[in-house]
Amino acid sequence: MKFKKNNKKIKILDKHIIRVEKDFRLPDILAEVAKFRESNPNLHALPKIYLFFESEHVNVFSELHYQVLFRCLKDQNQDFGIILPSFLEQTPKNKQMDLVIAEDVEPKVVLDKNLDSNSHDLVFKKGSENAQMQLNADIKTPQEQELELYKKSLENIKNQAQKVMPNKPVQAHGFKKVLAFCMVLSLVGFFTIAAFAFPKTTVTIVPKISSIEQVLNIHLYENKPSEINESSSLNKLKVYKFTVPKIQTSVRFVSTGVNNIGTNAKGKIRITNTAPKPFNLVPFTRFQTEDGLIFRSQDFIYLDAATPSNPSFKEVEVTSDAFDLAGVGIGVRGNLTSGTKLSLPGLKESSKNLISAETIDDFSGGTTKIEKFVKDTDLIAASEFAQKELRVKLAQMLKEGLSQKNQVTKEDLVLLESPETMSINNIKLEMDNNLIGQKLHSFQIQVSADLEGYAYSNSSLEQILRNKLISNLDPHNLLKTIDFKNLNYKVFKQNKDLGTFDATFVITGLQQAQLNGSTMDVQKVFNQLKLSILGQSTQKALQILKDNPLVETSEIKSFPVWKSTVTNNINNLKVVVNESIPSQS
Amino acid sequence: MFKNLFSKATELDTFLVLDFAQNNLKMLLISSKYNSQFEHFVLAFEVINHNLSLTQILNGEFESIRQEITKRLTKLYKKSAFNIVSCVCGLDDAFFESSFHTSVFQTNPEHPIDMGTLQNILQQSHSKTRLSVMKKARQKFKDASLKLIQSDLIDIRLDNKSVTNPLGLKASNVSVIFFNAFCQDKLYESLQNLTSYVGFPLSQIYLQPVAQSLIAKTEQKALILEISHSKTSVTLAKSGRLLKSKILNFSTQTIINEYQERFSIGQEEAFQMLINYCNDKFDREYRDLRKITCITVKKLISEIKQTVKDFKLYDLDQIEIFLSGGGSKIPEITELIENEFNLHGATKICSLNSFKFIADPNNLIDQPGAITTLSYANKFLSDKNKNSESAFNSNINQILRLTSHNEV
Repeated sequence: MKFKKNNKKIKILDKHIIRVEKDFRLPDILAEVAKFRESNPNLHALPKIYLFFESEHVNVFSELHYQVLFRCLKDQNQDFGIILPSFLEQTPKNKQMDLVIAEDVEPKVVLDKNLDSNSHDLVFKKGSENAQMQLNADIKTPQEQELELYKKSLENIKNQAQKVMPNKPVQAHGFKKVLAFCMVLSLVGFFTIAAFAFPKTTVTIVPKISSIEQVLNIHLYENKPSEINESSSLNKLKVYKFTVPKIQTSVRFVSTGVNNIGTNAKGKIRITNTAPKPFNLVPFTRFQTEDGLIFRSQDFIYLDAATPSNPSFKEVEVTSDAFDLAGVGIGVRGNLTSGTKLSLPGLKESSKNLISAETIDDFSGGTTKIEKFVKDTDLIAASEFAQKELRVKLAQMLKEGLSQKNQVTKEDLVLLESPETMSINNIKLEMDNNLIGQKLHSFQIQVSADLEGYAYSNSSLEQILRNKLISNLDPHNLLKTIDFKNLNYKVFKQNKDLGTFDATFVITGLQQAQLNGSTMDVQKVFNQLKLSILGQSTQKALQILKDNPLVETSEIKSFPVWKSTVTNNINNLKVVVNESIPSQS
Repeated sequence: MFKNLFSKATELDTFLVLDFAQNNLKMLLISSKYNSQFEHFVLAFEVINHNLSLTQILNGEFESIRQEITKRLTKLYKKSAFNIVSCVCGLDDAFFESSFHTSVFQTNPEHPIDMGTLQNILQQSHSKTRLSVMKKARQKFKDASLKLIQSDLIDIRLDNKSVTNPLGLKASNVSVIFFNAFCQDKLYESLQNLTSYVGFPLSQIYLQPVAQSLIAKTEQKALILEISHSKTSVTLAKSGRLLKSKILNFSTQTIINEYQERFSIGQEEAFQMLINYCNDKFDREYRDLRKITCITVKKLISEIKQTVKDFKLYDLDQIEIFLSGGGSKIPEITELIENEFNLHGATKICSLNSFKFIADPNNLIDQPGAITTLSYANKFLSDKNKNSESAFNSNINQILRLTSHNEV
């Protein structure tokens, strides 16, 4: 292997090179370096090592990861360099890296063992038709020799027969060939003459299409516009206040009250006493599991005095509470399995360790059944929700009201859809009496209210927006479409007393370079474009058109087809302008 | 106030991004036109250092900043004329109070969830979560008047399984996770005044964790660590949406303070020493510097370990880790994170390539601190291009519009 550093050849001993495989991670590299150091007898005179990375390893190509490697080796006082094979397409940008390039290194090819042998082109088969691939081609079997002799004799018989047979078919065949040759020759001649006499180039151009976005502030007024001040906009638009009276809507609300009407679990437990004194447990003494389920005894329980080595036992029946410590219904969770430990939370701290309990069989009878009912807070939440629902539907309802008004008055009013300009007045809520406590999964509320909003004339606004876009078109461009559907606006200032609003409108559209038209300006641009490609090679002409700010795409067709330059004669250059989007009427 | 100073008809249309951090304001100007890959070009990047205290910022005392912004923009305008068409603002975590809130509801498992039920659930959970975050925000901002600046539905789970659209499905319980954020009303108004002074009303406010979530482009979860001059933020995201976020008590300033104390030097000198150390230039004994840096970074690692536990991330092999901020240039941070989680070579540094909609042909972005500003710009362009990073986002946005659009 040859090594080059800064384009100068250097020599590196093989034993000083550590190969770093593609899947090596930092600890693997450090382990390899440690091995190298162990193999070196003199730790005080460690030679410089070279890490040979055969791939684009992260510890070399990521600057930060190289720094990590650098510092880990610097911690060990280990001087090192990096070797990279010359076949790698890029080299690291780190200038401080001691980089050596290894030449004459072939990239490792990983053979896929699963490749289907049938997919190979090379089939080593005796007698293959591929002459290059014949194996032992010179050695022939007796059968093959016989076959070869037979083919040769057949060929001889054919030749003899042709000499003996009349010659007409051969002559006729020859005549056809001559005729075809003449036809082709005359066609070629004709096209050659046409090519020199009438060379022609047709260029099809799609003018540049680009999006255009404009933002403008519009002063909206109900009666008269505000006086012009510093922040006023020159664009003004009249708005019309309108109301939709006594709108009615109903809302369904899901009750949140929950009753546990399931049954409580029962079962037997064994109470163990290790205290040297007897205990009397009152009825309804609590027994608690680790996860907070409460069970209670029903009668008095007397526990005999005992010792830790000779404890006393008592078996009693307990029933689960309806709710656990967290207030969640116990129900089916009360069906404990035998061997579950229980504690007595009511005992003093000193006695808690002396008395314990454990279930002696599986508990049963616990079921969970939940019933929903209407809570007092539900009515408040429902009325809030109903009002909110009305607010959500506000714009839609106002639009419907406005649409009915438009049909009558034949106007084109559109709702000014902004939270600041729409309001709900005289809200009335109606619901059934005595709902609280009723076992209902959900209940309904009727809401009625008067709605108020402002509307503007759509055609007037469109005119203002169109004018704004037209006044901001790029040079030599025409406005093609305006995206009124995605019109965006936001009211940023309002004075409801005066009935004035200021809003920012964002309008987008598409503009297209104008290459078709009879005005002097357009003709001049069009002719300049033609002149710029006259006599240029097709490639260069396409590049010129691509660089032209007025051209989106272009295509050049030449006659004759092999002609690779645009015609020199401006009369033979035809430029077709293909406006790909239709103009908006 | 002067209106539309930077809006003449023939100039290049641009977007202005203002990134408010605790000790500086970054300003990014991007062209509104894009190339064939939908990339918008960076036209200018400016950093304005300010000496405002947190209280001054929260109270919106922006006069000095306003003057500096005008000065810088005027200078840029003289070089090459432009027209600001939209202005967005990114806010550092310190300026808002945010929280995730999970609400669980029992539903009838025999009936599929319909629009009414879903609206009820969303309405109730939204108001619950809003109140809980508002309570937290009131404590932080001492009962000041508040403004809800972000309310994102993070996830809907039916019987603990995440779904993109719960309508028509049956379940016995529904969990809804919201991410809400409040800032002081005063700050919001001041920001609006500041941007309208430049010539355009504030289009949008973005929050740091929400904007950074777009770095996670794939279905794979990503942990984005931003180690900045004032704090470290950890964001967990997937497919462009925020899952969890947390602020850690560590910053590059922690290391600078250690250098200052250990070598008895000034703040400036210690700061320069850290920059040189990151560039393999050692102002003092290499071993001393490395030892102090490693010991200090270990504090960060233990906090990250705890955060990973809190986020319930048990298998980091399947998680992408991105580093950003000035601290990402410190090799020890990469080294110790990779050592701790046995992810050698797996951490990535956030760069311009992490952002789908931005290109920087003139190499104007040369500092890791610009990544957050770029993430705000990218979020804005992503929203503008109606780029929905996942089907989930479009579904929940639709539902949110039905329930709470008046408040968000």
